[in-house]
Amino acid sequence: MAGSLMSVAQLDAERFFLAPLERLLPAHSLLECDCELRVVSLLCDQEAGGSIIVEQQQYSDQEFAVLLVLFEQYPDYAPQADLLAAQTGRSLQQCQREVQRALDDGLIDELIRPVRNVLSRARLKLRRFGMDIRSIQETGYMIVEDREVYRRR
Amino acid sequence: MAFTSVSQEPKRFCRIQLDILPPRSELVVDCELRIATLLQERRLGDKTIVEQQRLAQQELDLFFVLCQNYPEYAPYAHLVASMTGQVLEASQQKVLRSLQEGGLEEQVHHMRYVLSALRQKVRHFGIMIAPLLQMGYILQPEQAPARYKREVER
Repeated sequence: MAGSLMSVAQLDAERFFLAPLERLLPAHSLLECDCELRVVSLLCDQEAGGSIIVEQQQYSDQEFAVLLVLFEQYPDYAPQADLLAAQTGRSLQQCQREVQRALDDGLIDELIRPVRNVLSRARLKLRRFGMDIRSIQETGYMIVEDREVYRRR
Repeated sequence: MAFTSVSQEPKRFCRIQLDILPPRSELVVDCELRIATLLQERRLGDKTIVEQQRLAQQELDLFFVLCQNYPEYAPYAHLVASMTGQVLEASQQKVLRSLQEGGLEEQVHHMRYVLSALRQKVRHFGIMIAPLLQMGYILQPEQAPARYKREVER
C-alpha cells in the first residue's frame, strides 16, 4: 500500500482519487476521496485481512471544494484566492483581483469570512483524520497534523 | 456470509462479505453516516474503494435484514419489522393474517417503496434484490458493471 501513497493516484478520473497526504497520515494508510458523494475515507492496512476503513466523513459541496484545494496544494499552503474561487465558483483570476484589492483596502477579513466559515466546518471533520487546517495570516491556509490527536496517540 | 463489526467505536463499521459481490471485494457499511463502501483488492491485501452509496436509515435497516438472511430470502415479516420497529412476532402475525385474508399490499406497500430506492443503490455493488412472490426478497448477483470487470482483469 505504501507505494501507492507516493503520488496522486488517479484511480477514477471522474470520481475516486487518493489524497497525497502521506506525511500526515498514520503508517500504512491512505485517504481516499469520493468526489460524487463528497466522502473522505481513511483506509488502514492491517496485517491480517488487508485494508479496512477506520474513519469516514461526508462534506458539503463548499467544504469539499475548499478541501480539494488544500489537498492539491499540500505540502504548500493554499492561497486565499484559490480557496475563494473554490468556495464561490468564481474564476481564479477574478478572485485574485478581489483578494489583491481587499488586501490593499484593508478589507480582506470581510472578503474571506465566508471561506473561513466553510473551513471552520471542514476542519472539525478533518480532525477526525488526525489533520488540522492552519491559517497563514493574509496569505492562505494549509493542512497540518492535528497536534491534539498526535498527543492522544 | 461474514458480518462483522471492525471499528473501535462499537458497531460503526460493519464488514459484509457476500459471495455475490464482485471478485475479491467486500462491503463496509458506516452505520453512523450510513455510507456503504465497496472495497476491492487490487494487489495482495491492497484494497481500494470502487463504489460508494449513501443510504437512508430505512434503506440501511432493510439492507441489513437482507444480508443477515442471505443466502436465504428475507421474509416480509422480517423486513416490515425492521422498518416499523414492531416485534417480529407481531409482524409475522400481521403478515400471515393479511396473506390469508387479503391486504398484504397495504402491509408491505411502504417497505416496497423503500426497497425500490435501495435496489437502485445496491445495483452499483453488483447486487440485485429479487422478489419472491408472497414470501419476501432475496439478494442475487447483478451483472457486474463494466468497471469492476476492468478492475478484475488488471
